[in-house]
Amino acid sequence: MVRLDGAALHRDGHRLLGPVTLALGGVGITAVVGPNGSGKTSLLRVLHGLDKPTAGAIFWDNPVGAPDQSFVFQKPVLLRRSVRENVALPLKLRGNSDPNLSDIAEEFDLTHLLDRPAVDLSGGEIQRVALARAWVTRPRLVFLDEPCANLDQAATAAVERSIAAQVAQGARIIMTSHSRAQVRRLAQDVVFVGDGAAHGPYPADGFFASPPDAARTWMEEGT
Amino acid sequence: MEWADLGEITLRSLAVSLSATALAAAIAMPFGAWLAVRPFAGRRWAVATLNALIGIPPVVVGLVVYLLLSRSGPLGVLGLLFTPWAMILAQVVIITPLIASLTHQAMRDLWLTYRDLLVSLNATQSQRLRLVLWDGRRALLTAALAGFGRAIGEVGAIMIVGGNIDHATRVLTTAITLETSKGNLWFAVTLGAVLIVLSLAVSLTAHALTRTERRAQW
Repeated sequence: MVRLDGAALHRDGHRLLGPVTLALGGVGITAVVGPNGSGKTSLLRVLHGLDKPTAGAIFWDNPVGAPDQSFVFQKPVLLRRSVRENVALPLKLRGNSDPNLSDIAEEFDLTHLLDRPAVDLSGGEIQRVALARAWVTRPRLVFLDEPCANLDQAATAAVERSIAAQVAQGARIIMTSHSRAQVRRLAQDVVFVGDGAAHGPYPADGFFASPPDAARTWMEEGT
Repeated sequence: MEWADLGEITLRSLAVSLSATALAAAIAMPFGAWLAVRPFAGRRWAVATLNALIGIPPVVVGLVVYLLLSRSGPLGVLGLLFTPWAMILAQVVIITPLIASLTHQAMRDLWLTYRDLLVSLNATQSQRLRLVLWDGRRALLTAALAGFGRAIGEVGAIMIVGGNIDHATRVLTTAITLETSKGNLWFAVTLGAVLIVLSLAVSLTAHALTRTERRAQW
């Protein structure tokens, strides 16, 4: 679906990512894993087009244009408005002034929260609002950057249920996660990013059964 | 000047400075937000210039507007000199940089928060502007109030372009100057008190409006 050819990202003379050569297929959930600061977020941002690679190139086989993608940030950005307005934002930006949100609200368990100010929500609720906003346009590809960071077990389970439900409907997801257990539960394949270089993708089962050399230290350090 | 004129003068002060604030806000707020949202090479210089213009001496603005509007000036045919319109124009010039700079600062912070999301969502330039302006509207109110405060208390420029003409262009500040120089100190002090009460009233009204707005919005 997408291929990076020697793509690299530099900012202020620092190398954030790459050069990365990587090809990702078109189904299921791909997990991007690796140590903190290794470039996982930068990889997602380059794939999404938020950051233009400063070297190398990005190719889409079957172009997934920007309108068919969405991105959920590690620190979700909520507008200082109601939940309803936050979820409706992508549709409103596309000219739909009075969108019907009942289905999406139900899918992400937000129906009872729609008229609450977004700033009053708990961490798990904020994350569900961000996910609902990402899926409200029914994109073909969704990037999730640590969707369960700072969430407790119950909230994580709720978010994972929502993600799994979207995948069942055919969604393509590329996500980062620091939780090996979560990657095992969700991902079909795994990309390991270490020190700006990307390895993989590996099938998730194989990755955990016999980790590639590059990922061995990282695997041994964590849970 | 009579006590009976007090109401008229107060109303004129209010009308001139509120009009000037509205006009200046209509120019400065979109411009300030645009500066914050739009990345371009000269932004730093533009902001520095704007901040320098905040301190521009009103007397000089008055002089320049006078030259523009005087009968031999480029805008002389409009016949605006020594009318409230000239005073509004001068005040707009004085407070636009202040409102634009305060707007820019507030919108810059908001934009840094919203940028990734709005870029990700492919929001157009005008959608980005409208979003930060609306979501930062409380900061905009503060900016407008700061502009109004500067306008209503200003005397140098409007004295030059308005002329402090009785029943035509006399406002609270110019009346205070006149009465003080005539030695009517008690009257001048009263006018000063009215001026302060007026500024406070406008500010309190505006804040009362935002509080109701907050209840409805949040």
